Amino acid sequence: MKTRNNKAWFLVLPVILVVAFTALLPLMTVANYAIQDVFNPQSRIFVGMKWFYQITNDQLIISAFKRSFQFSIQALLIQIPLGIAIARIMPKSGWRASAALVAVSVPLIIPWNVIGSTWLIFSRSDIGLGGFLLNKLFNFDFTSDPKDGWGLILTVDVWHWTPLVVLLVYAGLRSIPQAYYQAAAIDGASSFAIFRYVELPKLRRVLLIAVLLRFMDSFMIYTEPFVITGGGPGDATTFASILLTNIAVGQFDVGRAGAYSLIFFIVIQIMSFLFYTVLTLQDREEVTKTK
Amino acid sequence: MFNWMVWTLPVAIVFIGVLVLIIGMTIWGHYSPPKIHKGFLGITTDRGDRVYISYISFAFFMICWIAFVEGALYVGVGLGIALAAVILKWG
Repeated sequence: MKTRNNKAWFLVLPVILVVAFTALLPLMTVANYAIQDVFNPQSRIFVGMKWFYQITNDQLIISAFKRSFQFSIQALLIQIPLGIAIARIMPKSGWRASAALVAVSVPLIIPWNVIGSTWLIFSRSDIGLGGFLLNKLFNFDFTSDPKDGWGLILTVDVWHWTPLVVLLVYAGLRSIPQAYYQAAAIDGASSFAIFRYVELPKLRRVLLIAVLLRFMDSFMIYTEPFVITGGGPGDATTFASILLTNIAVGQFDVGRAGAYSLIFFIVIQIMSFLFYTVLTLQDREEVTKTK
Repeated sequence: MFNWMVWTLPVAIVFIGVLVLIIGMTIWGHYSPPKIHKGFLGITTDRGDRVYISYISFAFFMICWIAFVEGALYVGVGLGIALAAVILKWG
């Protein structure tokens, strides 16, 4: 095997410096909070694992985590197939392709709070266009019916983030050489066979990125439920991050919030690692074969 | 300067340990490049992968221990380290 020049890793140092201030130092602080009862930097008490015992036996927190998982899985199941479907029917070249790309990207460039406010007004059953109509047809009211609240947040997330999947998949599709399609046409392959045996294997890498990004973002979803439902009705949309913010900023209970954040962090780490491993399994097999 | 981070000794030890681990693995990897092998985890890993896997496995095991056993923390730490060692050696 060709030996790689690992000196390029030094070029990563500036990023590490930036990440140190935006992620590592806060993470260290959170880890310190998690094992103390902090009133202020001068008066604090070491409490050991107390917060972890409280967190792992708190039904509110456990159900919030379950809700987040459920939401992420639903979001992935809708957004990935929908994104692939839209990317496949988008125009391939010319001004139509540019127009379609711009149209698709619009939700991505709108600030998150604005998206929340827009959907909040749009969905209100008294003054919102969509909400009023749905209310007349199906008795839709996201402020009182937990199912409607959940469905609304899921819809907003799909509207907001499917474009990201579309853009990634579209870029992936454009990078497949025409020769593959010509070979498939010579063999008389059906449209589904082309998708299954040509496009899907070539898309594996972009889908890996799409699934990872979408899982993490939907698992940590905060802005949309905060702006639209505030975690309600009841606690139907109180996702893990909403509850975390309530504990950390609302109750200012930084010790519990610190322990909670560390557990949250490990769950994200494990899920990302599992996705990454499963989706790169084939590459790893190939690496071993060449040895 | 770092007063706002409310440092405690255990956390300092953990983070310095991680730092030493990463630097140590880098130097070790420079002098003897890691070999890829396939153990009971069913995926091909080099030793860096196994260090990471055993690290997060240990953390997750400790959370489960705290959640379900509630007590005997040092027994849990011992079992967790044993689990990490098994993954490191045969994973």
